[in-house]
Amino acid sequence: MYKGIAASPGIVIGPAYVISKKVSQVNRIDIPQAKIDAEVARMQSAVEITKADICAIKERIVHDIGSAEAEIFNAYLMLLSDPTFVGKAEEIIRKELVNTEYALQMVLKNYAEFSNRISDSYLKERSRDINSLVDKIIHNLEESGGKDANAPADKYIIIAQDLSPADTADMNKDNVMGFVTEMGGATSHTAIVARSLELPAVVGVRDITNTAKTGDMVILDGEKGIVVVNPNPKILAAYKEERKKFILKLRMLKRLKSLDTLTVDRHKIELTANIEFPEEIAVVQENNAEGVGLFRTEFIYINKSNLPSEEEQFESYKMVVQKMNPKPVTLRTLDIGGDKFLPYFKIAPEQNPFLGLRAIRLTMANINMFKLQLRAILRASAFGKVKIMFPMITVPEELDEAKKILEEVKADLKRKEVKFDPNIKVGCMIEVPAAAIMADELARRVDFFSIGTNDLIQYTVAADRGNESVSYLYDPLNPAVLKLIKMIADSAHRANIKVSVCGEMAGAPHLAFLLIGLGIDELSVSPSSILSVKKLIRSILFKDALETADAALKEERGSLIKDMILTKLNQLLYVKEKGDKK
Amino acid sequence: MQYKKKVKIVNNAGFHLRAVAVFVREAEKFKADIKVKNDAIEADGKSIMGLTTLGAGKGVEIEIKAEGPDAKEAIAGLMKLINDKFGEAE
Repeated sequence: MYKGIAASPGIVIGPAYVISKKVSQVNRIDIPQAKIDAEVARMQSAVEITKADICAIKERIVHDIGSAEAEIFNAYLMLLSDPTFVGKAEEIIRKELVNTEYALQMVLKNYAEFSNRISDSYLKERSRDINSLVDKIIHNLEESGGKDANAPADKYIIIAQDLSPADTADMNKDNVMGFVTEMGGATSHTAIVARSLELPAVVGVRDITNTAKTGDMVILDGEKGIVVVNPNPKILAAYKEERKKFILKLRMLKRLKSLDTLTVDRHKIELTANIEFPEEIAVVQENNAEGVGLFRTEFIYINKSNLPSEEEQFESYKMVVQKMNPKPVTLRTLDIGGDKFLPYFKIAPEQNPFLGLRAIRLTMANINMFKLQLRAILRASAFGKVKIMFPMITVPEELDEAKKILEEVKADLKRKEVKFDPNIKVGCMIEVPAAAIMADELARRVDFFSIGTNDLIQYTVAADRGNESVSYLYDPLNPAVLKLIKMIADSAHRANIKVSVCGEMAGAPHLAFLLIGLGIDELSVSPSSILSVKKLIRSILFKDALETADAALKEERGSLIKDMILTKLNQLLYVKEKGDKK
Repeated sequence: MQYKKKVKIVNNAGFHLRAVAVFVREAEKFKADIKVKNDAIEADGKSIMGLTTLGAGKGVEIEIKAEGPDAKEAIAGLMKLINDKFGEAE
């Protein structure tokens, strides 16, 4: 039994296919001068096929994971066009009158002489990428037959030292049951590809290619990170049982995915996801969220050396919007300042950044940057259902001003005949106590509210959660915070608009229960919390949530409120479970 | 016109394949002839294959040489790229 790193969940049992990294033997064959052009053409066509293969996986990775992960494939494509690589091989073929396989091997040998001098171990490791590219080209040469003769016929579990992106490029999901590699961590390329293909994987299993042989029976447990080679009948039987349980669990979760987000007494709660990176959409879709309740747009600004262009922003937003269509995506305009800064956008140092030029204050002070983002968001709205949300609104005038700027951008786009959704919904975050108190006035001006509980709590109790000496004050169940949330929800409903919570509070099931009781219509949580919150919603009565919230609002200590909620939930869930067994 | 500049590699992974690809794409924007040197090894700044053989890991100081009408701009652009860690999130 081997222990490695659990990289992608699932349990499979099947024959091993061990890929050893031994370089295949290449023979030198002399080619007559008359046939040299044909030999060069043979190599070029294999290179073209290899390029096409790499383009295909690149597109799949861009689609499933994101363009940053696919960058390595651009590097492969550039390598294949590099004159010192394929061009050099052609030169050798023509000068020495030899076959392609041999010429490529010469190029590699030459390259190896250089790369062996590299002392940096990481870079040395990576220089293997070039070997695997050469393998790929040779594999695609017409007369070398194509299919790998060693692979077992039907389905198998791949065991390798390391799988480079080029190796995984042409793996067929119909044949591959899972991956085991000696190298890599949970964020390695193999792990990412495995999760995107929904295949179980264990990485970081030492020495396994030396002990397992092709055809050996293998158990791969991607949940616990365990690999068993040639298990005894007892273990095999136990794992067959485990696999059944896993499939059952998967089915139960899947069933939950397709079910409505309703309480037992059929009160509807919208359950959406918070995302930061476009890549997270895969998990959002996987868990069948009802939309994106908060798309933080900072990601596209941070880690850049310049202000991202309108086009760059538009492409990122569009990708998310299109993938979610017809479900809504709420884009929050840039929220920097506070503890997030941009290297290329300096603001004067402040005594107290969280009370300074932050979020909407900062963007409205930099109108061109603000308009650029609004244009990008509006253009993306032509591709699905988009909502715009302004962060950290404090006074009604700010909202009026932001909306006026939005109208200007809309008018400009209309003049230029650029498509966008003219009825795009506009909302604001309520995260400053002043805004909570003026919620009636704000509600008249927008189509929805979203409560950012993290900031609302810290501004209400005037305590920084990161500061240990005062963090005892930072309590989501502080009665003042709960009263504010109730006020905001009531104001929203009086104005006939919906109110969501997009802070961390929404993702904790016991707090979600209370929020529902306070009148929150939508919970926007991290993509991985969707199903646990859905499970809670489907097991409570709305009536109980209302009663519990009412009782909580009469309490004056947060700790007592917590006990009250937990007691209530335990009763409910106990009753529910007992009911289920009948 | 010929320009030379020394610069330290600051991204964690060093001058690896992906970073080299980003570098080459920037270098190709310029007409200038570009060379990159790590100790005794010199490589063509527009060849992805050549640059990977430099083996310049984090903290290594390399020298960029550019010769041509836009040599100065080329050096500036490439230096910025290296200092910005090739746009990698770390």
